[in-house]
Amino acid sequence: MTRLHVDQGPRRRYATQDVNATPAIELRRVTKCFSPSSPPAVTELEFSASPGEVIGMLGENGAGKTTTLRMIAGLIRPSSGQVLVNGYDTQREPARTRRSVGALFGGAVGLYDRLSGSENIRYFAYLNGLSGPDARRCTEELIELLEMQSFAERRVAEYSSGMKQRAALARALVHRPEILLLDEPTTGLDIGSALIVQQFVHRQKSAGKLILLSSHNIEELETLCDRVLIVHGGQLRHVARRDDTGGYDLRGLYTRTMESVR
Amino acid sequence: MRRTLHIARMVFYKELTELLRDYRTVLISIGVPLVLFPALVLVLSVNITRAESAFESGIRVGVVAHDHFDLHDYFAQQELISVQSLSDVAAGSESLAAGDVSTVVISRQWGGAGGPGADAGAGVTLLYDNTDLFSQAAAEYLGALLSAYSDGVRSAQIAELGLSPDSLATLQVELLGLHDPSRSAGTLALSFLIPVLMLVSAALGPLASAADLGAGEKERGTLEPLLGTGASRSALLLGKFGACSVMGLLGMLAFFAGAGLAYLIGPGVFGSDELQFALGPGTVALLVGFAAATVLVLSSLELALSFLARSAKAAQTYFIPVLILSSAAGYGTYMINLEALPLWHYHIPLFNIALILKATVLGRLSLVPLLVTTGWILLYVTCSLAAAHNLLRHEAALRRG
Repeated sequence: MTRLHVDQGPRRRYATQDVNATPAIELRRVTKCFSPSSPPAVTELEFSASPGEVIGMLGENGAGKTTTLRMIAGLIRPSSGQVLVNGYDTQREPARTRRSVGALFGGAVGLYDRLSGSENIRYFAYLNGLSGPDARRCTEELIELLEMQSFAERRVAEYSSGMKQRAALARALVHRPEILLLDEPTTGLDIGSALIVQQFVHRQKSAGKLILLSSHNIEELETLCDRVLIVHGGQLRHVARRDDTGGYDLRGLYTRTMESVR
Repeated sequence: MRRTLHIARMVFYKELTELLRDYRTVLISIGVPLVLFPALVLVLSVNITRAESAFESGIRVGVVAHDHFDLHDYFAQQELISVQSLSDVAAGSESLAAGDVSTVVISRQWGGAGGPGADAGAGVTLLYDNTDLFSQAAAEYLGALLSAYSDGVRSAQIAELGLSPDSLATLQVELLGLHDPSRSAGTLALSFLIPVLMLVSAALGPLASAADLGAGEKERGTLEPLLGTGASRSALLLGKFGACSVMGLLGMLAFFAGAGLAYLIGPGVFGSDELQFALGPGTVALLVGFAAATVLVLSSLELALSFLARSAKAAQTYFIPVLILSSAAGYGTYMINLEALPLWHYHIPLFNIALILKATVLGRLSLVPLLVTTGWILLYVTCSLAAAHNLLRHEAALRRG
């Protein structure tokens, strides 16, 4: 059983670097244990990623994908190791790193049912420090970008799951973060909504944002991602990259990786 | 600091908007307190009226009389009473149990046998159903009639002896209150009612909001994105605390409005139609201030408990002891003499607030207990908010039930 370490890059000292040379995300031997009696959710995970990349995370349920994303978002602390966002430690500079990150977590999208979609988006704009006019402008732009005009003023309680997912995406993006963490963003969506989300990811990549995307959908990862991290049991098992033709054999790679670790 | 306050304001507006859009929260926090007392008073008024009507339509009295007393004739002459002669005590018990009569009057002969306690000497036994309020009231009414009857018999006997009945009068005792009796009765009633109502309403008012703003956020999955923003935990907590407190104050206002409405609907239910609930403007201002402080204490405590809980249902379980303790603190001031109360009583959580409320109503507020209680109030709020802040900082805050 081999653990692969990828894209480690030169070790940087905390907040002393030229920001342009700093990876947008850097995980240094990150381990997360939720309780002493259970095995670690993530074990010595290391990778880094740069702006303009779309990185996929592929693995079974409980592989550690969501835990990794939550640690990058600063919602949970690593038990050991370091998570750096734009060179800043998420534990030492939580407010600064959170402003650089927009996150959408799987399961419940976490919108306020009794507010409209636009009110939800605007509220998060304020919480992320945008002023009134800025918040309104950004909200309107995102409503247009995610084709939400027809339902943005309705209360979220009346939304379908696709509408909710688009509103949640807009909310994650409203403060113009440089890094987007998307945890299974198309799970449970109809084909139309899934396509809108995928187009949205393409646009964000073109805008130079780093996107970290976890999914169970191999085709989606093949379409969207520059690299795919295959994780199992909280460890990084393999990094799949596009071949010379620009394609992937992600299914084959995943199957072989899983066979080797079982 | 400015940014924290700005975000706290945003959170406050958003939470209040959302809470007021939720008809269930509005119903529980404001609607129920507003209609609770009027509804209770209406029901009680209807029952009182029904009982009065029943009295007015007549009391059926069973009499097991022995020759010594002419009780049967005496009751037959009274208004509202219809008399039924019964052969013995067993027949009386049967009639009472069957509801044929409301009360059975049993006369006892001198040293004779004739019913319960017959060997106790001359007298009358009133047999009534002590699980039935009407029967109880009828027995009391008959007791009063019999006292008047007894006085009449005694006076006649004394007159037969050639003496004036007044010559045997015992010491006449007169009670004279310092204050206007109707007003002092009202103040006394308020000194008990206000601590109870204020503490109960302060605990009930923010309950639904606190459950929604803490555990409710976890349950709906909205806490995770909220904590993922650049907003500080302090700003989020301050905004939520403000919204929760405003809902608590609205709830308390509704509670007192409901109590006032209830008094207008049925003053008789409050014990007397003559009660005067007069409080000076200074006392009212102080009570409003203490009401706000009480709401702040209980809102902060309930919010902290809500963040501790993993689901709204668990939060409601945590709130039960708070409700019980608040009620107990309010009721605990009944029969307490403030003048002789040692200072350590003002160190007991919630009870000290109830004591201060009572002292305010009675116009006996002293500086030292006031300062001690104010200090404790500040400490309660600070500790509760610090606990909530700590819970929000901990990643366990994201765990759902």
